[in-house]
Amino acid sequence: MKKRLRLFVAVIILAASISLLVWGYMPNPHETRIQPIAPAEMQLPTPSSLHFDLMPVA
Amino acid sequence: MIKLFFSPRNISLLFSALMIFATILACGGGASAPEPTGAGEVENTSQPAAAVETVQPAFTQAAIAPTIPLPNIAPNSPTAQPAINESRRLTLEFPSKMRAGVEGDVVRLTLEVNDLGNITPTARVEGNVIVGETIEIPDLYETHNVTAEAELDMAGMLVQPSDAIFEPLTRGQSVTFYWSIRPQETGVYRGTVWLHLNFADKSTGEASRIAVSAQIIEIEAVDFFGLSVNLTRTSGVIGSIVGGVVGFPFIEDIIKFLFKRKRR
Repeated sequence: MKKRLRLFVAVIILAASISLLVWGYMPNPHETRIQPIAPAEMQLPTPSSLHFDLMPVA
Repeated sequence: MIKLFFSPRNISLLFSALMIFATILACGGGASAPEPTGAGEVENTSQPAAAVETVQPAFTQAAIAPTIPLPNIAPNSPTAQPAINESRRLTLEFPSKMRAGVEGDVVRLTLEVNDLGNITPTARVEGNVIVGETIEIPDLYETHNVTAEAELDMAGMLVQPSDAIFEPLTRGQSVTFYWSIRPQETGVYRGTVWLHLNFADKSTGEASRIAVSAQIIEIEAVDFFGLSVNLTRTSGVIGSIVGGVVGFPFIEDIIKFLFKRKRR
C-alpha cells in the first residue's frame, strides 16, 4: 500500500514538473501579417493635396 | 383742391408714372414666366443669355453643361513625376502572446520586393476604344535618395531601439527592421508599427516624407497562475529531480508492468 502511494506521488510530481518545464520553454506563438504595397503608395507627395486657403466653417 | 388735382401738369406726371410701371411689367414678364418642365422645353425657348441666369440652378446646369468645353488632358506629359517602378510587400512578424518578466522577443518588419507585382499599364478611353499607352516614368531612385524609416510605439513595454530606425532603400533590395521587446508585467499591450519613406532630392536636397503603413499590433503578456517565468522553470527542474528520486525504486516495477501489458 505504501509502495503504491509513493509511486502515485512520484508520478504526480513528475507530471506537474514536466508541465511547468514545457510552459517555461515553449516558444511564443508568432503572428505574421503580409501587406502588398503598390507603387502608387510609394510616390512623392503631391503639393496639390495641400490646402492653405483656410475658410470659415460657419 | 379738385381742380388742382386734375391739372394738366398732374395728368402728365400720372401718365408718365403709368408708362414707367407698364415698362417695368413688360420687362419683368420673362422672369415671372411659368417654369419649364423639362430640358426639351428649354432648348426651344429663345430667351436671352441674361434671362437664363435667373432660373432654377438645376435647370441652369442642364442647359449650360453641354456648352462647357471638356478639358483636354495631355496623354503623355513630358514632365512626369518620378516614381518607384516596383511593387513591394510588407511583412510584419510579432509574438501575439509571450511570457512576462525576464523573457524578451523580437518584432520583425520587412519591406521586400514583390516578384509577382507588375506595374499596371495606364489605359485611356477614346469613345468606345481603349488605347493602351506606355508611359515612361522617371525612376525615383535615380533622382532621389530614398530612406525607409520604421518605428514601434508601444506603451508600457521595453522596446529596443525606442527611436526610429532608418535604412536606405535601393532598387530591388529588401530592408528589415528588428525590435527587441520585453514586457515587465502581465497584461495586453497595444502598439503601432510605423513605416515612412523619406525622399531627398539629389540635386536640390529638398526633403519630403510619406507614411506608407501604420499597423496596430496587440501582444498579450502572461504568467503561470501568478508564478514568474524564472520561478516556473526552476520549479519544473527541481520537481523533475524530486519526482525521479521518489519514483526511482519503482522503475523496475514500472518496466515490468509495461512489458507484461505489451505481451498481452
